[in-house]
Amino acid sequence: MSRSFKRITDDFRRHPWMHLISIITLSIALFILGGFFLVSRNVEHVADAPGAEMSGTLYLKAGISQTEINTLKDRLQAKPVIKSIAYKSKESVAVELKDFLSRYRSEPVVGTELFPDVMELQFIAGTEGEAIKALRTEIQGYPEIEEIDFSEDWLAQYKKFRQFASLLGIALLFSVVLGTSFIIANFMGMRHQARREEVDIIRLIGAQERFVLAPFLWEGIVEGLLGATGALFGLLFARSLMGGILSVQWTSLLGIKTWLFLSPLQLAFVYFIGILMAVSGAVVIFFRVQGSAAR
Amino acid sequence: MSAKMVRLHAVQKQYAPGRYALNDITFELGRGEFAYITGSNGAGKTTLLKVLFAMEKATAGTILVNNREVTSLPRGKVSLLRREVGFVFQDFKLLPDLSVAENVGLPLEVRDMTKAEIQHRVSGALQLVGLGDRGTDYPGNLSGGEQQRVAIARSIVGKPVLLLADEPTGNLDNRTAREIMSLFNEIHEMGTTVLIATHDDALMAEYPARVIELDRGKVISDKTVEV
Repeated sequence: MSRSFKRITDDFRRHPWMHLISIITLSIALFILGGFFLVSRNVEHVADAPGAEMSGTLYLKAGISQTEINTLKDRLQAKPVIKSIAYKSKESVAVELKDFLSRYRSEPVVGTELFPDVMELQFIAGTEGEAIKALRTEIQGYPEIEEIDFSEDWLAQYKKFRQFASLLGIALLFSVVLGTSFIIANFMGMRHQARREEVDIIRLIGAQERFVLAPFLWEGIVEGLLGATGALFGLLFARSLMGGILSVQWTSLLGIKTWLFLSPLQLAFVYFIGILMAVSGAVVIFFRVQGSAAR
Repeated sequence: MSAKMVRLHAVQKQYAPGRYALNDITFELGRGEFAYITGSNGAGKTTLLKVLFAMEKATAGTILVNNREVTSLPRGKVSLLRREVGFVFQDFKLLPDLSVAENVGLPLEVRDMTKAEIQHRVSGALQLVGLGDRGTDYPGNLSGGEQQRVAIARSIVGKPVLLLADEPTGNLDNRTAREIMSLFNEIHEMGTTVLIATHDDALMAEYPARVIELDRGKVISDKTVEV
């Protein structure tokens, strides 16, 4: 093993750029893979804990009195799935919207007088989609309510999208593994050409194939570890960007308050795939040159 | 165990239809024998050594080296043959990034020997070739003759039963060539069977032994010289 490591360090010294390119290729591939995990892990919260972050909006009929509003509020408050209710008059909705839009456009916002009064509902954590649907059925006949927007349709769509995204993730995983292994195999092939004579000499002095293969495998493992570490640093940076730049809009829109990093299992998987890709590349090139080197 | 170290029977090596590098080669080499393979360029000397060392596969015929059938040797067993047979190349084939001692010790390392044993045997082999104090040098810092000595030390460190050498003095000046030849003699006297491919008549005259002459892949003479 010590001989293998010496051969690896010698080779890293002799061909630093080729190793660097392999490691960067791996890092990019693993960054894409890890990025997918990162986004899916965070977005999962929205689907798996709908009540935790899901809210609904009731658009009230025009011209209802304060008494009717209070009555409605009391009736809703009695529902077990509702955590809190916030009434917003059309004036306050218009102010909020104007305030929000003023950050992006300077022209005056017109048509705000058409806004209805609204009630924003916050559901209790863990409320199932079915319970929310049942609530909609129950309250849609209330005379004070014009329209209900509970987003459960959106949630269903979102879950469908998640299923699709999972399949996409698997496809992505396979293509990343195959593509990167191929690229790495080619870089290893170039390096192997450069040290073919060394490999031939080692074979000529009676080395068995495992002795010849060992440094290629170790090289793959080292490159895989470095590539995965590079990708994780990239992902940490990306997470801080998401938590910072995107937190104002998208995170609140999606209901994600803290952008989580990869779970220990996902981290292990990224390292495993990194090593697998690099080692696969090493094995591919080893068998590719089998026929051409000294018998 | 057979008294013969090498047996070749009707060995052929054909590169293309009608183009024979070796054609119907038959001879035997006894244990502890010293012999030369000679002939002009393209006679088949190097090809003969290569088929003996399983670097190339004979097209027809049988080859036995130390009772091991070489022509049908599976790929995985080639390494075992190469541990019994030493090979000295004209161009030395040393690894430039390894020290002299590391180069010499490499055949032992591939056999998973202990560090202590490797050190002991490397030291002995380097002493034998007269480079006992050059173990930490690198091949690039050595003369051609010294590099060839290192290559010889590497080929004998595993205590091979047969030593093959392909034009081992071809790249060396006369004086150094003589030193290398006397080294081969010394190794032979220690009991190793030695087969050297060369076309240097002067050296063969100075160190007389059996001479197998090839011409266009055929044995045209096989003379044993009485010393």
